[in-house]
Amino acid sequence: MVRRDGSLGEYPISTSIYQLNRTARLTYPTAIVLVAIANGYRYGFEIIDATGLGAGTVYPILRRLDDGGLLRSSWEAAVKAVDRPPRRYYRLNAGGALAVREAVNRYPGLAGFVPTPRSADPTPA
Amino acid sequence: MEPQRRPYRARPWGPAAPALRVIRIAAGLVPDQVREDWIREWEAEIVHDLDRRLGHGDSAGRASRALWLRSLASLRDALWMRHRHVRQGERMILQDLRFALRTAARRPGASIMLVVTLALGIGATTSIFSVVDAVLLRPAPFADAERLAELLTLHKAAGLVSQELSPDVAQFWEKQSHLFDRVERYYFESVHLTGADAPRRVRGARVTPGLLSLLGVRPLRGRLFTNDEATAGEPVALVGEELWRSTLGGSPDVVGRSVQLDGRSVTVIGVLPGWFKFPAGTQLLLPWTAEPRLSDGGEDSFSAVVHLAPSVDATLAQAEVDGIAERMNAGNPREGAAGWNVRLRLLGYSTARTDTKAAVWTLAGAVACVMLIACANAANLLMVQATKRRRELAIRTALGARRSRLLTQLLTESIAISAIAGALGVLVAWWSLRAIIALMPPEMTLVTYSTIGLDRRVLTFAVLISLCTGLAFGLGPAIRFSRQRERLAGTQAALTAPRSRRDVRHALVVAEFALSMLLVVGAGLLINSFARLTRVDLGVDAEHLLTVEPILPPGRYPDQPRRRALVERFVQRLHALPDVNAITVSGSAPPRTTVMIGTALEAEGQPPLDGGRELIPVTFADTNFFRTVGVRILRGRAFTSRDVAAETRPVIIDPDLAERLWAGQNPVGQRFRTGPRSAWNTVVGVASDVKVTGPDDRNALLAYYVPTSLDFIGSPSIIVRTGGDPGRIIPAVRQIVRDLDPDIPLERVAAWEQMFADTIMRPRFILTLMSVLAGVSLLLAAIGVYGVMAYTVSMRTQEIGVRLALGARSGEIQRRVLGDAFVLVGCGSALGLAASIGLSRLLEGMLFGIQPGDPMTIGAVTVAMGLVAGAAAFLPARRASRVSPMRALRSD
Repeated sequence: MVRRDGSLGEYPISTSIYQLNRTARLTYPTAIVLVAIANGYRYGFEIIDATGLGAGTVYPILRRLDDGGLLRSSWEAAVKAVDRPPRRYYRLNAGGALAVREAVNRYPGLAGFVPTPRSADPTPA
Repeated sequence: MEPQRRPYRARPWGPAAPALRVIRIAAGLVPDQVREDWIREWEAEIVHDLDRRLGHGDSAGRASRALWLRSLASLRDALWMRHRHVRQGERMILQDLRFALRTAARRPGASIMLVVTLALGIGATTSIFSVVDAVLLRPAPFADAERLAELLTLHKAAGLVSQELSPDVAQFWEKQSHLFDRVERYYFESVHLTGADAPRRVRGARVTPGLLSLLGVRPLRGRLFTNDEATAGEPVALVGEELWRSTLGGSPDVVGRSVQLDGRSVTVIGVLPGWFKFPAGTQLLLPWTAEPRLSDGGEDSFSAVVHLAPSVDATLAQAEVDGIAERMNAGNPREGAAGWNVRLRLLGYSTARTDTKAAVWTLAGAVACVMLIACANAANLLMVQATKRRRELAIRTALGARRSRLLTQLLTESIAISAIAGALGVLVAWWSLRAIIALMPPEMTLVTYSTIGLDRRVLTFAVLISLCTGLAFGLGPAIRFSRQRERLAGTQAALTAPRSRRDVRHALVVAEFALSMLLVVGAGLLINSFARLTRVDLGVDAEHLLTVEPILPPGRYPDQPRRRALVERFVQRLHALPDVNAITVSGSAPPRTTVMIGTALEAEGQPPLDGGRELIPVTFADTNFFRTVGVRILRGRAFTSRDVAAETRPVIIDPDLAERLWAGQNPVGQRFRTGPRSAWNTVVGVASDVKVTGPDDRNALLAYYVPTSLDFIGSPSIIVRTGGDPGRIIPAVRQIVRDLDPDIPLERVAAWEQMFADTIMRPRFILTLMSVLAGVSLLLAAIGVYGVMAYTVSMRTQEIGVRLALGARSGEIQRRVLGDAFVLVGCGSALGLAASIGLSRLLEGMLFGIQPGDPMTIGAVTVAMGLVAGAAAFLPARRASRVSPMRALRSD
C-alpha cells in the first residue's frame, strides 16, 4: 500500500487499477498521456506537444484521469502568471503513479516514445 | 520587485482573437457548473502558447493561424464535457431509482397499497381505453375515409336511420353528382355454404365492383372483382380472412377453388384481409347482380357508399343534403314517412350507433373517475409517507441537498412506483379485456376495424397514463416536502403534521368519496334497471319454448312446394318427439320480429295518427301461434286457415294498438292501415300483450299479428312448446335435421329465454362494467379512508394516551375516531349525491323502468357507502382505543 499523498493513500493497488479501468480504460493514448505527465509535462498544450496527440484527444483523457482520481489538477499561482492568465496544471497522485507503472508494463516501448523529462520548468508552488 | 497582481482578462483582439472566439462558441456546450473553469483553462493555454510562438520568432499571422487550428479541438473537448454531464445525470437517476426501490421495500405495506391502488386504476383505464379506441376513436382504415359516407334512410320523426335505401330514393341521390362523385352499392345476402366441413349459413353481401376499390382494400390473396364479372353475373366470390381460416381450411390454394353457395358452384377468386369487415361484418362478397331477389320486404332496396365531390366540405355535406331533401319533400312527396331524407354516415368517424356511443362514453367517464380516485388515494398515501420521512428529508437538507435534488428524488420515487403499477396494470388490463370482449354485444364488435386488445396504441396509452399518474400524484407531495428545508431534523415540529396538510388529506378523501358515490349511484341505477328488465313479464310462458331455425338453401329448395314439403316433414318429426306439446311455424319468430319504421297509422274514419315515431313490430303467426306461444286472445278470435288468403286482410292487434286507435271501443271488426296508399287491415281479434321484441319495448309498443302459412315461408322459424326443459330435446332436433337433409344448416336452436336474454346484451355489458368500476372505486375510497384514519391515529397516539390516562374510556375514543371518519365520508357522500343527481340524467337513455334520481337506489347506495366507510375506519378506531397510556407517553 502506497501512502504518498492523502487522497488515495489508503487504496490498495488493485483499487487504483480498477479506478483506471472504470473511468479511463488504459488505452495506448491514455498510457502516453500518463507517461508524459510522469515525465514532468504538466499543462494541457505541453502534454499535447510532447505526445503528438491532438488536443481533442488529450483533454478528454486528462478529464477522465481526473475523474478517476489518478490526477490532481490545480491552478498556476498568479505570481507565476503575470500578464497572462494562470494555467491549469496536472500532477499524478499515488494512484496515477501506479497506473504509470501498469502502463509501462503493458506497453514496453512506451518509455522511449515520450521525450525525456524536462528540467527547465520548475514545479509551480 | 514583485509584479503587480491583477486578474488577467484575455484580450479579444490581436493574433489570439480568432482562437478565443472559437473557444467562446464551444463553451456554450459545456455544462454551466464547470464552464468558467473550462474557459479559463483553454484561454490560458492559448494565450500562453501565443507568447511562446511569438517568442520563438513566429510571425503574428502564422501564430494566429496555428492557434486557431488548435482551438478547434476545444469543440471536441466541449462535446465530451457535455456527454459526461449527461451520463452523470443518468447515473444520478439510477441512484435515485435504487434509493426509491429501497425506500419502498422498507415500508412494504404502504408500498403494496400504493401499487395496488394505481395498478387497479391504470388497468381499468387501459382496458376501457382499448374499447373506446376501437369503438369510437379509430376510424375505418379505408382509403380517403374522411370523404366517404354511407347513405342511410333517415326517418326524421322517429329519429332513426335504416341501412336500406329504396331504389327511387337511391337513384335520386346518385344523380346528385355535384355532391357525390362516386356512388357504389351493396346489399346483404345470406348464403348457404356447403362443401366445407359442415353446412353453414354465411352472411354475405353483393357489391358493385367499384366498391372495393373505392374503399381501398387490397386482397390478402388473389384479386378483386372485375367490371365484367359484375355485369355478366359470373359465379365468383371473395371470402373474408376469418371465413377462409375457420371454414375453408386457411390453405393458400383456396384461390381458384370452388365452393357450393346456395347449391351453385362458385369460384373463390380472393381472400380479403381480416380487418375488412365491410359491410357490417360480412365474410363473403359476391358481385352485384340486378336480378330480382327473394327478400322479405318485397322491395329491392340496397345500401350505398358515396365519395364526396372535391368541392363539398365533409362537415357541411349533411346540411346540403337536408336542403335538397326538404325541397324534394315539398314538391314531390313520396309515400312513407322517411320521404327523400337521407343521412350521411361519414366513414372517417366511428360508425357506432348513437346509443352505443353514449354507453361507451359513459364508461370512459366512469373510468376517468376511478383513475382520479386512484390518484387521490396515491397522493394521500404518499403524503403520509413523506410526512413520516420528514426527518430524513430534513437531514438531507442539512447535509446540503438542494431543493431541486430532493424534488427529483421524490418524483423519481413516485414515477418508479407508477411504473411498477403500470406494468401490473397492463396485466390487469390484459386479463380484464378478455372478459370484456366475451361480454361485448355484437353491435360494438361490428363497428371496430381493429381487434380490441393490447396493441401498440393501447400500450403507449398505458405508458403515458402511468407516467402522468406518477407526476399527478407525486408532484404535489414532492413540491410540498422539498419546501421544508428550513425545518431542522429531530425537532418536535417535524413530528406533527401542520393543519394545512391534514386539510389537504381530508379534502382528498372527501373528493374520493364524492367520485365513488357518483359511480356507485350510476351502477346502482343500472343494476336496478337491469333487474327490472330481467323481471319484465314477457307476456308468455317462455320457460318451455324452443326456437328452431333451419335454413333452406334456395338452390336445393327453389320453389314453395319443395320447401313446404320439407317443413311439413320436419314438423311431423318434431311432433313425434316426446315432450313436445305444440308447434308453430312462421317466417321470423320473436324476438326477431319484423319491425316497421316510420309508419303513419290510420284508423278508418279517423285522421291519421301524428305518427312516424313508433316502431311497429309485425309478427307473422300461423293458426297454432297463439296456442303454442301462450298468447291469450282477449277479444275476437285467433287466426284460421282461411285468413291467409282472405281479401279483408285480417289481423290481430295487441291492447296498446287497440287503445291507441279505438280508445274505449271494441276494435274487433274495425279497419286500419299503415300508410295512405296501403290496403286496409281488418281487426279480427285482440291478443294479450307480449313483448315480441324483447323486454325493453318502450319504442315498440304497438304490435299486431298477420296470418301466415307454410305457403309463404322461405326458411322457417319454428317454435316448439315442450313439457319440460326445452334444452333436453336439442340433440334430437339436430338429428332430425341431419336425417332430413345433411346440407341444411341449423341457423339457430335455442331456448326462447336465451334469445330474449341476448336482446339485452348491451345493458348487461354496460351494467357489468359499471358495476366493476364502481366496486373498484369503492374499494379505493375505502383504502383512502383507512389510510387517513390509520395515519391520524398513529399521529395522535400521544394525545390519545393522555386522554386515556386522564380517564377517557376506550369506547369514547373509538367513537371519536369513527365520528371523524364519518364526517369525511358524510361530506364526500353529500357532494357525490348532489353531483350524481345532476349527472345521472346522462344515464336516462340506458335506464329502464326507473328515474335517474330513484330514491330507493340512492338510499341503498348511501347505506352501502356508510357501511364500507365504517368498516374501513373500524380497524384504526379499534387500534386507537387499545393504545396503552404508559407506552404512548413514553414514546418520542
